[in-house]
Amino acid sequence: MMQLQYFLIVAAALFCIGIYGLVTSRNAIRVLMSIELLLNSVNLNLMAFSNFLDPQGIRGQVFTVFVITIAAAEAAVGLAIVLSIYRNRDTVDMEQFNLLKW
Amino acid sequence: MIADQFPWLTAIILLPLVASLIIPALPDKDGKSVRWFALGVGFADFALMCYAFWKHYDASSATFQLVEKYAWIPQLGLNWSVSVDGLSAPLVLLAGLVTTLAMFAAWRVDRRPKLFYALMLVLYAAQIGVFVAQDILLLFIMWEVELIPVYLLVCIWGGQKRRYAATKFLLYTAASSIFILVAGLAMAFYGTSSGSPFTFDMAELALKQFPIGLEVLLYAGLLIAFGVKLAIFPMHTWLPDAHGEASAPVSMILAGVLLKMGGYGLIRLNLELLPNAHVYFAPILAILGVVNIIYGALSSFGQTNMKRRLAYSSISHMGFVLLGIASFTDVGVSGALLQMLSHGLIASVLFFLAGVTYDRTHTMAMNEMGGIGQAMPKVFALFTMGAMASLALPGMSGFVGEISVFVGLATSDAYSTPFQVVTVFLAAVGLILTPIYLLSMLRQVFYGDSAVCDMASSGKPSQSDEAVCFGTNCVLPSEAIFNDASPREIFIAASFLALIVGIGFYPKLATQMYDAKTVAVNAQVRQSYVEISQSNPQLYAKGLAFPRIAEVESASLLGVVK
Amino acid sequence: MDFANLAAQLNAGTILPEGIVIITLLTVLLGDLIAGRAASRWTPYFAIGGLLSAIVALYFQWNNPTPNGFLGGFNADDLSIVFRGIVALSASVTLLLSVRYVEQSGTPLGEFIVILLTATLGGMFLSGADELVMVFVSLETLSIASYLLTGYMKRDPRSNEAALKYLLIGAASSAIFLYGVSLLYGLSGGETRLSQITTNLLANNANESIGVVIALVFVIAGIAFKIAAVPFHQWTPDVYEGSPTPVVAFLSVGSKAAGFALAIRLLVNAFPMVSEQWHFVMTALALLSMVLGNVVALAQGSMKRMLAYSSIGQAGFVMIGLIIGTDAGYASMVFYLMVYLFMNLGGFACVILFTLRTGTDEITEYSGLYQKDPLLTLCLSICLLSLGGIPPLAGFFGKIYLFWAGWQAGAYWLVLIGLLTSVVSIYYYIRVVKMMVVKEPEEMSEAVKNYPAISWTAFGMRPLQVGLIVCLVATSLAGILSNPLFNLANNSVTGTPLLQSSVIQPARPVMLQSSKTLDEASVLEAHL
Repeated sequence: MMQLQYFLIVAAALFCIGIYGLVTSRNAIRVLMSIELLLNSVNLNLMAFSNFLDPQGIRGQVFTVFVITIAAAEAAVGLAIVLSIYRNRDTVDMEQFNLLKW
Repeated sequence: MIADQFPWLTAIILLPLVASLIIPALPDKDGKSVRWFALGVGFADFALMCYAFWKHYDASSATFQLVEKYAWIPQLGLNWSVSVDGLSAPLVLLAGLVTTLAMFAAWRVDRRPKLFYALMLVLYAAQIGVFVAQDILLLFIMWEVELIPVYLLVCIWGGQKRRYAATKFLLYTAASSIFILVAGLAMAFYGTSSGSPFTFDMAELALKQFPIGLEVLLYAGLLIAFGVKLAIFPMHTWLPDAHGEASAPVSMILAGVLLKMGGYGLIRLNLELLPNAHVYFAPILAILGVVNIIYGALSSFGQTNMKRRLAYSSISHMGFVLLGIASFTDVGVSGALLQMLSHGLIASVLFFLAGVTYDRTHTMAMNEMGGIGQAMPKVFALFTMGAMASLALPGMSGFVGEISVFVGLATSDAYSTPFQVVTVFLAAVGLILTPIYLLSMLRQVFYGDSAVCDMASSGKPSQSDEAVCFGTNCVLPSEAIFNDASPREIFIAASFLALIVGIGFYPKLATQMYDAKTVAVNAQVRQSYVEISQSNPQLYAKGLAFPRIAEVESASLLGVVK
Repeated sequence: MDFANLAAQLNAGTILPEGIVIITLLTVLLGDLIAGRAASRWTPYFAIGGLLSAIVALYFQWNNPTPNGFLGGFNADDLSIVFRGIVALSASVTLLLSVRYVEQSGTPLGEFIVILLTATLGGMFLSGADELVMVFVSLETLSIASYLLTGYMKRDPRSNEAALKYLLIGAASSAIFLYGVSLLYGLSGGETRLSQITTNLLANNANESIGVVIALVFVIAGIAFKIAAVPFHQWTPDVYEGSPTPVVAFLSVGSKAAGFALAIRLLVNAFPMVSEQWHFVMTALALLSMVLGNVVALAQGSMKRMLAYSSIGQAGFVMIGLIIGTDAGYASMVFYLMVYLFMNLGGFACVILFTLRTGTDEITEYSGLYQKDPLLTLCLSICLLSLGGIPPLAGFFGKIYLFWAGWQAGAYWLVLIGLLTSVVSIYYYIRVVKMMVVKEPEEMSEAVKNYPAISWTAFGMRPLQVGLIVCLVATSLAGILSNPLFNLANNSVTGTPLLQSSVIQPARPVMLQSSKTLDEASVLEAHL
């Protein structure tokens, strides 16, 4: 069972990197990428659990497929919004988005 | 007997409420028909309550009458439970009379008349609701319903600082009313597990026995809630602003009826439901009462604004209510109620006449008036009579109320003699201060050199600060006509003064309505007092000299006034 | 295996209302595709009809003896029915409000309706989701559709900015939520059905593990984002200010109701063994929301921002019901959300109407409105006073029920803080009423001075008027005649097995930590 923990540690590390990126990035695209990192750490978690604890049901793997799909949808919407904001404002720098009091 | 089945009280409450909903739909351009409509409804409601009480109210009984109880929201235990007893009936009549006459007083308010009269009618219904609700939750609802109309009435029509005053009133009352709800919840849920039935019905809650610690807490909470309304000393600061800035008809209601809600709540909830805690709190109430009397009188003396002077005099007079409530005697409690009624009439007439005066002079500053007694002798005469009633001239209702409180307190066997002597003495000092400030007001306003003529030319304030319909009409200062009281104004003042003199000469007119009830209330409180002083003979020992253990002699206490 | 057989096995009838919404959605989409802009004459009404028939279908599902559908993935118990009804109703009222708004902004109406219906669908599924994958998918359906709606005014930089902020924070919070869910999946040994998770956690002896607490914290972060509880509220004011107002109306009611449904189902179902911890966290969130939401609202100059903070405060009140966890507590939540639907949507309807007529939503611009538009003034006053809890309006009864239930359950401090903050809230609500009613004609704002003549004839104004009147009537009468609503709320709780088994727990929140064997048996019993 040692192996499961390695997976979990990697996933947790990935999650932390994602959070770090989320907090520090100024570029909206980088923020989106950080979110993808978070979701991938979740996927790793789910796959690991699915393999070690639920090899018959493989619910985790199914879950992962859903997560990947929805992450794609989310990224598509996110990029669309970034695109339209770029058209209006000519920038994707988070610091510049201050029309609304943050 | 269809008359017995008829839901009199519900009809009395709902009539003005429904009427106020009709007002926006009335075809009316110049505000002429709205005022007829509102006055008609007010008068009809007053007539309805007179008739209902005349026919179906038995004054010799201390129990609840005209009882109606319908489940409103059974899930919450909320019932539409209304009935009257000796405490409610006179106050309901007072509310009806004062509100109707206030609407008549506002006859010439032509600024947004629809809104004005609609709010007045809602207020009418809410006041009566407070006095007849027998369910704490319903009382709380009525208490809150009254809030918004008063807020808007003060906020839209009134003196220069009316908006500040209205907000202050709203926040004070809303914050303090939390305690009513919390106390109600605490009482209802005390001793019930989550599944068992519970009730907010006051009569049933009165049967519950609370541990004394909880009871004291509840009492303190309710004292804050009602103390704000009654303007007990540290919680009174909203009153001079609200009463001073509201327009005259609204001031009549504020001083005449809304103040009485506090006193009514104290007797209804604190005395009837929490008699044990009352035993502990009574000396505090007495002290607060004395402080109110002296402080109100002294502050009143320091005011240069006529309405603020009257407002502080209200604070002073409410001290007597507290003294009476704290007295542990039949005469005292009865006097407290009589004082509420008489002050309701006197304050109304004084505020009305202040408004009438303002209509002519367009100032409330007393040093700018003077000599107008020559110009309007009728107003002067009426005002003098009101002031005399307020300073407790014998033969007026104020005298009867205050003397009953004094007699009650002086004959009370609950307090030690030094305490009684000091309290009565200090209250008497307050009583002496009353003529000083009232007569000096009369002198400043009506005697002296005439300085009225240049009223219109006095400096114009900026628009948003301008007083709007501060008096009883909306005439601009430059258009004010300096004439004597009109027949309508004389009629309004005379109706109040007739009652004041009537009660003054024949107090039984008022007291017969509630004597049975106040005796019952007092008997209950005394019962608690006896029980507690037996189990705890050191009661009142701390800081209040030595106790005199009471002997029960309620029989001999009946009827000094009667 | 033929189709009917399969449907019977999956108990597919449980999602009939959602099916109706999907068909409506597709019809609107196709109609818009075929007929182009001409379709906007009928699509909104068709969509509203679809939503209302979904509500009717929900009515017929009441007290369904076999609520579990899709092998436990979807639970159509009474609680879910009430919440799905609230979501669908809020969407239909939102549609009424949005026709004119979208039309005037020059954006296509058909797509707006389709996205709104998608969000509704997500919210409805979320209210009944009983399985982690289902929870996640429906949550994201709701969220992604909400991001799109937020950024729907694509030429307006404020709308763009609100959408981007909402998307980034929302996606991050759902990723965090998902991380918690993945931990839960692992700790329960590979179980995704909410009702089975507790059992498996006990079987794996994972009930005291720090992992469960971490999972709990992450999950609560996701839920708190959805219901906008402090400190996960930072997005709310910005998004509310920037997005199209009808969208805000939906987010503040429909999306929030779905969030509460998720909170009840997930916390009560999957986390009974850390009940003490989640009660503690939720109490803190509720207190913070009530205090911060209501206090910060005092300082707002924009009507939409004020309503945003007020909705944070309102969420705090609703959380009282969740925390106390009694029958009355859950019922009061449901009841409050039902009246909140009408009063909040009514408030937003007025804001929309005012914005359409004057183009601003600054509070100071409302001054003197009484002289120009009495109906709007009346409606906004009633809705705001109801939100502030002034009797005899509906909001008062909602609040009193929450506080009543809280006091009954012994949550004295929560109730006291709730009462105090609702007094604070009266102050900022009445500030708006004062602006409109009290100000003299001379103090009228520029916007009101140039107020256009009142006309309801323009395209899309009638639905707005209908929505306004419906909300006004419901807000005024739902309090006085609240018995049916009370019964509905109570029955939805007593008819839900999930809550019935959990209702006893708050009496002993630390049940599993001391005498394990005995309590394990009872939990197993309760959840099997």
